[in-house]
Amino acid sequence: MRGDMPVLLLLVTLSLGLMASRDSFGKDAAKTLHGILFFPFEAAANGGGVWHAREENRALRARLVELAAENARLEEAGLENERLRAALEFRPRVGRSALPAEVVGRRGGLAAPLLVVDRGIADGVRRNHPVVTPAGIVGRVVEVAANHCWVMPLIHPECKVSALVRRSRVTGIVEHDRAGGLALTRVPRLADIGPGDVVVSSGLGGVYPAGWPIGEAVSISEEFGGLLAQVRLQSVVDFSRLEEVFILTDPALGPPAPTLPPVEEELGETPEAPSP
Amino acid sequence: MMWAVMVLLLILGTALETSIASTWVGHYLPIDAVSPMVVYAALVAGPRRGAVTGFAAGFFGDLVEPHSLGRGALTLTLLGYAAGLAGLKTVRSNVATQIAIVAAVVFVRKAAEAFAGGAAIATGLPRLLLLGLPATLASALLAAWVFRGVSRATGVRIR
Repeated sequence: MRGDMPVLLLLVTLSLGLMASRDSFGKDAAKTLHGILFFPFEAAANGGGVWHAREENRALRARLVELAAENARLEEAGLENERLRAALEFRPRVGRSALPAEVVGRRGGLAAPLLVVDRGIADGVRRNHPVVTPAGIVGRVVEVAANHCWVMPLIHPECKVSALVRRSRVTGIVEHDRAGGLALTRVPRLADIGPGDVVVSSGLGGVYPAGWPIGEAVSISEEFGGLLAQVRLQSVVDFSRLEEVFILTDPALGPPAPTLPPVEEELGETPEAPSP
Repeated sequence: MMWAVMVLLLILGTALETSIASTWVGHYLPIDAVSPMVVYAALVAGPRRGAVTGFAAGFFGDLVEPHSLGRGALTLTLLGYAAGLAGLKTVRSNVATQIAIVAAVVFVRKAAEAFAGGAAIATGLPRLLLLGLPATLASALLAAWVFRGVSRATGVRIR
């Protein structure tokens, strides 16, 4: 034991000397040696890390696909939400007889299109009930089944609507034109109508209520050798993207009331309540 | 033979401590793999060789670790010597004694490192000691198992 003390003192002194010195004593070389000697252990340790990273990467890729699908679903839900919000704001303006419905199919192709809507006799739908959107008239119900019905849109060749120009009250018939759009026909050649005029339903004929927007005048051309004019219309309804519609089960329904601006209260002019 | 075993043990201990132990379980249970090797040398060959082994292990650790040179060497030199002395005063072939000595050495080494590195001040000594207990026990239990395996493999037994 006594012989151990000098060795201990020597080692302690050496350690203290190392601590006092600022020389790195070849730390870089030692680290290199450490790397060479313990490479298998480091590789084993890092190999575990790589394996974990590979597994994690695989899981994250799967999660990425899930999130992309969820993102697409949420975007679709957001768009649907916007449409339904617009519909919710619209329905109170036309009353309870505006039956909300969804377009669930299309028949007839482009030449004679028909819309299949998910409301039928069970919901109180009958033939010739008008179908509208907040923008304007879509068409009318032509066939009704128990739980669904067929709607003939305005762009159908057999669909005709009595209409008038909102500004000048010039009347005519809205029907499809050869280009697949809408036109106001049977209009006197010198009638007061121009591009930008809004054409609405006249209420004549007993199917469509009066005052519902149909389209906007785009251009005017002659008809029947110059005796009459035909006004080409830009429809207010995009028939190619219809998803939600309203069936007016009360034929006497008028057009939606315009949204009134909020009444602004003027400060200082509010009369005070009389004291008791 | 004896020195070859010592070198082998030190390499094994340092490798375990600086690679696998620190990478996989180091964040949760920082196992001390070097101190048990120093204790093993001290129990087999006495205080002087324990001190020399401790110095070598500490010096090599100082070279590869970011802290200053000599710090680990001084700690493990003293602990190796103390472990050798403890082995002389007790029945060192007893497994319970070996576990107790290893636990004491690991605990003191961790405390010394905590003080030298400033962790004791930052974390607070009581909490640091509490956190060090699981690592100490794990290292000691692992050491007892490793001692037996090394003894069987090399024939160098703690008598």
